[in-house]
Amino acid sequence: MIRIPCPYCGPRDHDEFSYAGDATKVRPADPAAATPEDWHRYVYLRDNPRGAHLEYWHHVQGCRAYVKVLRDTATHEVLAAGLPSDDLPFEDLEAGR
Amino acid sequence: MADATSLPQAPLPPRRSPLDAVWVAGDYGAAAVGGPGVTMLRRSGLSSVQLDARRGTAASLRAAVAGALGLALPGPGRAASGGEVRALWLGPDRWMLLAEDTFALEAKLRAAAEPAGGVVVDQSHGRTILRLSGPAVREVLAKGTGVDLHPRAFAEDAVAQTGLFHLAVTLDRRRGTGTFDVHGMRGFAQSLFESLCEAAAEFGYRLSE
Repeated sequence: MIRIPCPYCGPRDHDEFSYAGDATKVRPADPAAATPEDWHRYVYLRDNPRGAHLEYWHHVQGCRAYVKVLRDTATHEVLAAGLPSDDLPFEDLEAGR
Repeated sequence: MADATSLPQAPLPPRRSPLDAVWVAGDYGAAAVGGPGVTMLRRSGLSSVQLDARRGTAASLRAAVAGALGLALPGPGRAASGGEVRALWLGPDRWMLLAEDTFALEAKLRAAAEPAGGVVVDQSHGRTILRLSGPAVREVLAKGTGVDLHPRAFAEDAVAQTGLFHLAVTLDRRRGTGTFDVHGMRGFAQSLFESLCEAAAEFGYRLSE
């Protein structure tokens, strides 16, 4: 069981949430100028890291907000959580590895 | 094609609780010393109206609702009562407002909130509300949800949307000792009711008329 600290609701069981994907992917800023390779990278290519992973979860049975979560994929430890607009310390962790 | 809002509207039949078919007032479960651990009653005749703020309109919407209904819309995880209306926080810039049907809440809210950027949707037909009270209520609810319901964490006027026995509910901790309103989806009302009855059986429970 993962407990996710929703920024609105506080700690909740992960079964109130629905996983909503990798939060490091950024949509091409200018869709008209983006190449098929850019779209391929944005839509399909995903790392499968062992360790810190930045991801979105949808609090679908709670406040229905999207939450950004930094989770360790090996231990399921939730290292940080916040709003989608928040900068979580993912880059720091990446750099420290 | 005629504007949908101009079509003649037949009056709606009175709403009936989906629990009417299964609700038989009486005492059930274990015979507890000092009375049943949980007392359940159906809250009927209530209007549930959802209010959303369009982007950037939350402040003007709060002011409009405060002016029209005398009610300060609550912040995250909280409920507030003002006059005949109770408001529950459901999510960012989203609330559920409740009042007796006779209060005509939807019309009043529509008049006050829509010019201020609010979106008003009547959900009365889609919700079933149970009131649980008694010394064992917290233990019964704790069997079905991971939310910490201890008074230190879940004080009076606390609200949580959560899964209760895997069903989506809104929990509203009312004033007074151990009184909770459980708002469930109408279509799941009998499942919710049966789960609550099974959870409450060991403490003894009473179904009020």
